[in-house]
Amino acid sequence: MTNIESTIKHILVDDLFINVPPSEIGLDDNFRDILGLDSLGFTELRTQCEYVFGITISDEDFVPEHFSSVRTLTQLVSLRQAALSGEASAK
Amino acid sequence: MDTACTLESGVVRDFLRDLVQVDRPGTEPPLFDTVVEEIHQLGVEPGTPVMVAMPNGAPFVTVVFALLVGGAVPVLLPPSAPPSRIERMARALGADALIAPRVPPGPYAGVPPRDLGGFARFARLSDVDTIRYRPGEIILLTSGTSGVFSGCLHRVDSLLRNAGRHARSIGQSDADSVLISLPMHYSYAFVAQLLATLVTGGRAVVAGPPFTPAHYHRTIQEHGVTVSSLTPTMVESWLRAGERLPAPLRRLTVGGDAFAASSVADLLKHNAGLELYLTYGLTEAGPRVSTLAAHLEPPRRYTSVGLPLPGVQVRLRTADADDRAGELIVETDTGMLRRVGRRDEPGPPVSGTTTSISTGDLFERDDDGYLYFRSRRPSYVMSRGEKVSLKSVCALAQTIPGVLGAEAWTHENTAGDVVFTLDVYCADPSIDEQEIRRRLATVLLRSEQPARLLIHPATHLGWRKSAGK
Repeated sequence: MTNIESTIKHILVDDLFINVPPSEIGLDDNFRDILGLDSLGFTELRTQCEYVFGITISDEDFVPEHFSSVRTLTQLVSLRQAALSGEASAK
Repeated sequence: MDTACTLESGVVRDFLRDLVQVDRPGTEPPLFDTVVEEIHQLGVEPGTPVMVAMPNGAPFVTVVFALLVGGAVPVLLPPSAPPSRIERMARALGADALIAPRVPPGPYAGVPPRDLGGFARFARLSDVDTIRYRPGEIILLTSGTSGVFSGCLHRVDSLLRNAGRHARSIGQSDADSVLISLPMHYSYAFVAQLLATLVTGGRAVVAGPPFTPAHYHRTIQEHGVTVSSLTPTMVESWLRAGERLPAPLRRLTVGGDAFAASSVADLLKHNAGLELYLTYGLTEAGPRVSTLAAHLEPPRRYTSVGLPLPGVQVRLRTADADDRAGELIVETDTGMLRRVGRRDEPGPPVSGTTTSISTGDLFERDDDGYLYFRSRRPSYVMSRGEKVSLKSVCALAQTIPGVLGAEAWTHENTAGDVVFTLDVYCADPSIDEQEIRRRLATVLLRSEQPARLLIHPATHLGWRKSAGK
């Protein structure tokens, strides 16, 4: 498991109080269907990811395709981090 | 004129066949008859209350209709309800059966949780004194109005009647495709969207969170949505994005009691041809009470929630004969049978087929009968789009060991939204904010949790009342 995946799981448990131990959250467990995340939960997850990973998640990226599971959100975070690194090295 | 309202298997089957699930490409909805049979095989008998904690989607709709057709009594819970909340609801409502996508480890009676249709689990909770209701009944929870652990017992046929009235008040027909993106465990989306689409023969397009203007725009276009309902908060985010509502959307309904007149004007100005309906209702009333067709009204009426639906009577109960504002009393034949929960209350006053509902909301009425919302009982707050009972939140905080008292008070955050702060007075100095939040999260929904939580020593109990806020 990557650091990003592990961190997202801990955000779900420690900050969003999802009642599932991190070890039992599957990479493809759907946030809405399996973990019961509601609209406020999605908003908090977005905010926490922005804060913890130091990235910005735009409205265009705040969609079910990216906020579906730990796996899809990890991919989004990786992309945003890579974009940030690219911008930093270009300066 | 109201028509007969019953839930027939054939109608449900056709409705589910046409239902569209957004964000579920290639997913086949569960077969209705199979789910009906599986629920029967699980031993669910007529009159049995069954808690359903599922997100928006075809499985939710299929399960609820299958339970109703089989004579069981669905209890609609938020899918985000924590396990402790579900356990306490089970005891309060006498419901030992649970259907959810994921059933957390816990004390289950007799057999372990079983699969239902490949999309959910069915479990029976132990240590619950079950209560029998009657076939054709359903329990809807309110977002805080009746406290955390109680619900409103309704008859489904009266909800279908209310749904039909709502549909007529906004001109909804069988030609419409209706986007259901609000949570269906709440009465508005369940009755005014899901059941209204069923009784009019239209097509339901079901979506879930997260809501963003871009995603909403795409959903409407991709699925040919003609009717949609948004919360005032969602509309504000849409207006901030500076976009026009996309075609083919023709009708939009918004909860009117919390929607600013300036936003009504903005929406109509930037969306020529849009039919905008402001609505008012409450779960106890079935739920729809009044509608304002804002696009047909002069701007001075944009602060109104309109006229009562046909079949619904209203009056104001004023403290003084000269008062302009008074508590809105709703008299309707779609009202709840009674409130059910830990402390069962007697049903509301009934005269013939009409129930009298005290809303607790303060209204004024103009000479033409239009209703104007003024305020809500101070023990409730609209926090982050949901009605929250502050009394219930305080009572729950006070059950935490080491907590001597709790007081909640409302204020505006930097964005101008009404939120509430919870002052918690602790006899145990080792208790910190995170611990209180963790404990509250085991029973409260996210929308019911305080925006700010302040810890005080027990000796300071009551200081805010004496110091002012």
